[in-house]
Amino acid sequence: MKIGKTLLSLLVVISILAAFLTNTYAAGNDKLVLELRVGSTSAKVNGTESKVEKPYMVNNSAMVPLEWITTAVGAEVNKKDKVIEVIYGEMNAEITVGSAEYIYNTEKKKMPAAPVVKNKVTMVPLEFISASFPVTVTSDLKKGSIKIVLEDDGALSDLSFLTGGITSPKVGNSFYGWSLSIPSGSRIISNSFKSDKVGITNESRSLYFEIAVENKNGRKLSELYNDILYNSSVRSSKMDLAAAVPYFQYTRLSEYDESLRVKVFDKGDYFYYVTINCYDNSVTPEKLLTDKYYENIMNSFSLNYKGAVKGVEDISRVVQGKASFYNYVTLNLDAKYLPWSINVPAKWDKVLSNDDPMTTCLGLDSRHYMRITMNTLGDSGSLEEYADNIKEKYNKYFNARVYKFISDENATAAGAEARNLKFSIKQGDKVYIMDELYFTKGSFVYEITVKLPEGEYDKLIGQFKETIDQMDFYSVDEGKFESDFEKYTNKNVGIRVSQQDELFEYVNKTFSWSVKLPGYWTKSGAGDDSSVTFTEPDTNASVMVYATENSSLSRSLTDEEKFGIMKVLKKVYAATPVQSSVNEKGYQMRVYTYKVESADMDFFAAVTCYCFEAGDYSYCYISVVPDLTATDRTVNEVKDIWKTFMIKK
Amino acid sequence: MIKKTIIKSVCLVTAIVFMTTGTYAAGNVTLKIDGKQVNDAVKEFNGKQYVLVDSLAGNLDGITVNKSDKSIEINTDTNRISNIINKVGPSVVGIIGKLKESSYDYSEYTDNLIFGTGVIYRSDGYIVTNAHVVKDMDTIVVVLSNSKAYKARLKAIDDSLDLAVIKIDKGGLTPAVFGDMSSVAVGQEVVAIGTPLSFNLRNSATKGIISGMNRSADGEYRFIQSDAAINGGNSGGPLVNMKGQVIGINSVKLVGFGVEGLNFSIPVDTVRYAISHFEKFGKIKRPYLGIVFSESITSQYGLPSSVEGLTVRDIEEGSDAERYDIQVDDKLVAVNGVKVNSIIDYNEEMKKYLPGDKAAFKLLRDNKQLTVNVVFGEK
Repeated sequence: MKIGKTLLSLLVVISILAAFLTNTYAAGNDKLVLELRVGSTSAKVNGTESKVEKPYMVNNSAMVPLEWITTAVGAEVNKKDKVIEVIYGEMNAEITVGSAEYIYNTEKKKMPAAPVVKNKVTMVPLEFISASFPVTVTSDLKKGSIKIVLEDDGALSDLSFLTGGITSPKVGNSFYGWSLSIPSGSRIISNSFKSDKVGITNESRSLYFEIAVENKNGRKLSELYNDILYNSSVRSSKMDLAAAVPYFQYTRLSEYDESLRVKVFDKGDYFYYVTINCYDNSVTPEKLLTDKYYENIMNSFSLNYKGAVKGVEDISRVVQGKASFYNYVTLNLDAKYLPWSINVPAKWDKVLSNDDPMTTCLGLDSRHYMRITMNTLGDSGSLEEYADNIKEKYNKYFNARVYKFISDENATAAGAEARNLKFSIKQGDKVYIMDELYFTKGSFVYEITVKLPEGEYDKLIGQFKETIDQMDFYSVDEGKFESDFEKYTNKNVGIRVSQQDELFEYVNKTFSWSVKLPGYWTKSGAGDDSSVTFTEPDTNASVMVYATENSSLSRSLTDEEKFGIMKVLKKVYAATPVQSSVNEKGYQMRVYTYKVESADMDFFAAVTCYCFEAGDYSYCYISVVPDLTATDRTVNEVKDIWKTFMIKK
Repeated sequence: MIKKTIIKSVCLVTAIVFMTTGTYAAGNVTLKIDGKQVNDAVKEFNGKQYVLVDSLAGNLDGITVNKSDKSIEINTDTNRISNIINKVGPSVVGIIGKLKESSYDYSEYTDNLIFGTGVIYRSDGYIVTNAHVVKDMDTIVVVLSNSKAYKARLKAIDDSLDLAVIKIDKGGLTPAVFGDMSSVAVGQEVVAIGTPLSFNLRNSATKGIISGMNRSADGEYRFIQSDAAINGGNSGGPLVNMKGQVIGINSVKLVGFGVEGLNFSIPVDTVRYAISHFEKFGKIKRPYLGIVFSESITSQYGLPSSVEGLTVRDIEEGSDAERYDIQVDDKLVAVNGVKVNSIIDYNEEMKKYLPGDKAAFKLLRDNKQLTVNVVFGEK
């Protein structure tokens, strides 16, 4: 279905482009001439005879048949008792039979005489017609002749609003300060919410351009250059750090064997990536680099654009330093909801990407952000109860060595009554203030957590709260949304391992192991027995068991190569393990202990991996205890679970 | 160029009859067309035999009597299809628009353009199309057969029927002529006309025959099945008979998994029903009782069966049905004397009623028959 649609839309695009080229859409002359005579039932539409309710005079105004005219011009007429709505293009008039007053768009107006119904036909003053429709009315009321001419029937002469067609020779972004010349016939096909990533295509030249702007975040151009050289199938590359604007440039073939030329500029706070992608196979990466045509396009890239320049189309979606983020929630294949949107400072980004469709993080980076989560009240009868419940859980499950309660107050947020919980947490060597707001909109609870470093809290919290107050909420089909949410939760969030809280023995027959956990732990996993995850829902402490069959090949692999999760810990969470070995449960085990302190991923935890071989399989048993919930109780609970882990022979 | 034969004389028709497949027996005054006898079709006048054009028109696709403009059209076989396309073409429009950001198919990385076809049914810019064509469109643009484009407004939409009405502010258009379902029969030739967005109308017509009046994979209403090829761009376009009358609106949405060479069109009766409700109420006003039916396995497969009727599977809480003597496991056999054996039968029957209307439900409970008089509510 999806592929079909894409292909079809491509065909349409091509035909539309063809139409542009041949000027098929140019509005042709399609003049409409209506002729009436006072006192006569015969009229003419473009010279063809037509019968009408005969026009007559009232107080020097000619009364004409409304429906005959609206049908001829193609206006919409909706009648409800005495009120008649007339719609034509952007015009919307509401007239009332028997009343000379009427509403024109939102304005109150008056016509010389009140509309009258005669033989089921609404007779209106000719003045109403000339004031409401884009027509030229000429009348010689002495002779009784009336002529109504519609020159422009509203046909569209330009469909670029639909195709994203660009009519100017250059596009620019006034917020990030760049501009670029583009071939004629190009169209914008993507534009991210703050226009830091823009895609432009030109079908007739088989070209795709992308201009992406990235915050430097302390990185150096040379570091970026080395990363790219290391990672991609680069055909040619060059760096010039001495240029007025330092840059590097490279060419390569994409995964789809398309030629790419990328130039990365270093200016101010940002890296600017300009990509020219050609999907015409006859154009090689070398040609993209050397051909004058592409060279001219690349050389036209300028970092001096400030907006309001003739011939440059400003495609920035940032307005007065703010960008509108629309939060679309997708819970299954056939529904997408827009519950809220927010105007955020253009410096902000979507940060800490996660798989929870109900959660969005926006902010400066992973250390300065707010997390917006939608939830249902669940078993709580009220917002008060809901927030009390959360506070209670924090006190019970959070580790007093890193968690400090600050305050619990009533507040307002986004125009709603809110509960405001505040506490601090210690992560690594830094202390962060967590400022949480809870409020309801419709049948949903919004949980907004602002996380800021203690030292910057006073300076930045105002901006965050101001932003939250500007959230917009939309009406969605709440019943359907809630039921989709419930279905999603049942499917994706783990289920209790047992109905009772007592220890429950989980047996994995496929890979011959078992473990005993309290019944309130939940099990989730891809349905494949080779990786099973258990989680304590209140503390997020978890236990994962990975198993893989031994083979001649696997024997030569390191634990990190065998168990991808260990590689993730190293690469993504930048955690280096302390290695030791123990003999436990009758097996020689390699133990890797990690202290994960990743501010980038906002994850701080103690992780232990036990790797060993038993029978036909290699195992990796992992326990994770987040620092925030590492109370003695939780640490011991996780240790106890490890004690019960057994390989069944 | 295509030659359009319009003969305004009845006399000439007799000559034409010999050229077509009709046989004409002089003397005993019987007319047979393709072996089928047509009664009261021939009259003798001054020793000459005259054939009634109306009886020819009723039996030969190529002959049409247009009472409104006082003309008789006779189309010989070679030009038939092109004549039909010429006739219907001006009433067929292309519909194009951008996907709404809220649509699941919306992607930041494609142009998000979608399109379909529509049929003008009123000269002042009312167009009928499929609901799924316009449902997720942000700005709807209609392209007429003369390549002029206009912005359109969505006036009414119904997902279950997969029909919608849009409006452009343009007068003097050529509305399509809607045909009569009672004359539609399996085996008849039809043409599906697709989007003129290719600017080559003739190429986007496909010919086929009606293969059945049936249900689709997941339809709630009856459909016309044909083997006229329909693709995405044809959705919302007309299925036209050999007289150039619209007998259905094509809908690719209805093509089920594993269904090949079968295309589904919404019958013109259903289209008429939808348009009349849309114009009167702005939506489909369905009679509602709150009964959930299930159909027997034999009916699901369309097998002949001695078990008749629909089983009441559930009665929705707080619904109107609770007020009547209707129980779970009852069998609904007929509504006002019309037998219902499948959910489609029931839905089709419901098209005749409005909320507030009365009907007699013939039920079967423990093999005993009872009649319950209901007044339909509205959901």
